[in-house]
Amino acid sequence: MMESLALLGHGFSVALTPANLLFVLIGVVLGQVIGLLPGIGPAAGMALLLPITFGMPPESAIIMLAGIMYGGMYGGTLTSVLINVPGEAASVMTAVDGHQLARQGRAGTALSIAAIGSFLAGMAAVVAVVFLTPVLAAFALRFNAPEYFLIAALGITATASIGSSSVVKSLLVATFGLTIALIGTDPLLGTSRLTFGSVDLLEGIDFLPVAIGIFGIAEVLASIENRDEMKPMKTRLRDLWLTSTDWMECRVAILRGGLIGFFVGLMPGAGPTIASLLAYVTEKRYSRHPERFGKGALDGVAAAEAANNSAVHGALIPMLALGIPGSASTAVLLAGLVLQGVRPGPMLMAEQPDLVWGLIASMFIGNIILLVLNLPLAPLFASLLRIRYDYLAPGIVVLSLVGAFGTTLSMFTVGIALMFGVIGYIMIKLDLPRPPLVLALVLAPLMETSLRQSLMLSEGSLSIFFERPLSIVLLVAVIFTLVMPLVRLLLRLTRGSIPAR
Amino acid sequence: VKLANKLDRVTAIVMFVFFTVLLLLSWPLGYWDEFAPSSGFAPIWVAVFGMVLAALLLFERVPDTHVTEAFDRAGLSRVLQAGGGILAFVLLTPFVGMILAGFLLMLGLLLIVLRRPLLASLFTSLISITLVYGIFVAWLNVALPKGFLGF
Repeated sequence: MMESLALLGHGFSVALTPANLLFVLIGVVLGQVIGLLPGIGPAAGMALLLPITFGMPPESAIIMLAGIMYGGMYGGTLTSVLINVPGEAASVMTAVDGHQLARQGRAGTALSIAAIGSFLAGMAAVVAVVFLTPVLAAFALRFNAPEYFLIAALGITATASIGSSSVVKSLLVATFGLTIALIGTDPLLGTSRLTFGSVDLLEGIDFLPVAIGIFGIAEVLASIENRDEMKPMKTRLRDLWLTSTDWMECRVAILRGGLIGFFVGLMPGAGPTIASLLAYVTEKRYSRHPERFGKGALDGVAAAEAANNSAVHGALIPMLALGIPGSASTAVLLAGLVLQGVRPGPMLMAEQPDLVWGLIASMFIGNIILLVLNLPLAPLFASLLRIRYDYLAPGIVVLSLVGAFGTTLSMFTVGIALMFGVIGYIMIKLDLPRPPLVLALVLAPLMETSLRQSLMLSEGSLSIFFERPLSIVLLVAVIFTLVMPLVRLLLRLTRGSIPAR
Repeated sequence: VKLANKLDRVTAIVMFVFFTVLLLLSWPLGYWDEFAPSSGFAPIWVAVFGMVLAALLLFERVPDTHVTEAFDRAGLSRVLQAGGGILAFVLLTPFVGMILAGFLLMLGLLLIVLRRPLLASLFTSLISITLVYGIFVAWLNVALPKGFLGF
């Protein structure tokens, strides 16, 4: 515990350098803006801005990208409350009651409790990150190839099982992502696979143009199709002041939402959207005024916002300790680490203390900046909602294409980004979830190499996955996440209880 | 046994064909060498898994939590125009340079696809492309393709 505090102190010495402070500020402001713009979420924003981190030191790059990730959670609230359109998916539950409060003339109160709830839950989650990440990383040093395969597989199956309305669709998309990752040179034998003789494909399809296309270009194409004009409601600085009744009503909701969010964030695949939904439902169950939910419950807003920010920070624990991303945003952050030449995994904390502890310390600073941005400066950010998205969309497209070119200095990569932009747009139209594709793409190399290494060690015997208690536990978890939804599907098919669309 | 909705059926069939092709392409890579999995090991498993999932999707009937919006003609036309514009950007870049192609793409999207006023479109495109130039060329020193105008 004392060692963690000492390392955190070192982290502050990294995060408090003028350059890194500037990048925290840039990251959280960008996150706030990206979060409040409907149509582009934190994962997309991070993917679009990854190319501009090439020239930066790794600490600054990751601090900025993480700032976008948690800043997006704060920014999404403004759009949800003022125009009833969630800026990003995790703010959906905030829109339910937040906009009702705005219609009752209490937009400022809703924004204020959302900011305070996010701040308190975020800070508590970062404290948990400080103490839990080293413990998990030390434990993960016991992992061998079978455990790595199983935990990577769990990342994908849990995403499919928890984070989507259709498990089959999620797994199908993840399998498509695995296929994309298989293109290129075999990592163990060096033979070319599925390259069709193309020299450009020998090094495989990079994560970045896929993420830029799937999130950035696809979102813009979808927004060009549906051009909804936004009419934000007005909010004033003096409306942001909370009364003691408001605070008393929400303090337990913030605590409950923060705790739920943190534990949901730890689980692979669940993420902030599930966290805010679960926190909202739980709060409604335990609230003294459940009848207010859906009509303007301040505690509902507090719980949902505390949960989504807490979940985002909690999700960093498996990413930093194991090198396993649990959501699209942490997958992009992991890709950012790889692009900076940093090898993720349990050794990351020992090998890159400046980066890991600088990042953790920066999250304390970033949350404080975000609280300031979201309380006195909320009306200023709200005014950004008056800019028509039409004027931003073409700029996002060009930034995406130039960014994709910047990754390899090849027009082939721009073509890949464009192709995945079209694929992403079709996925939106077909209601196919996109995060499993990106997660599978990131996890595929670890999955394949650890599976093949395991089978080489066991000379082809699958018994290697049953030899150690740890691998048995992980195997059971993978099977559970696969089987349970399939059982539900079979039950649905046999009972015929779900009407076809 | 009832089938899934139309869009899901199309997805299932397309993905089944895709994974069947993957299986056929992966087979020659070999499944197992003497002591270890061969290069085709992972692709073959991925293809088989994908085919099973595609077959399952054909019969899956999910709760209607997300209503898929139909393709409306005007919206689809805008998307196709935007897609065409991006394709033109890719084809034009080697000749006119990435900065000019980007400027033309933005202007085209604003004026033709999104029907914005001329002055506002010009101003927005100019500001945006200057920002892109500032970040990628001036700050990060990325060698973007240059055209006949020298930038």
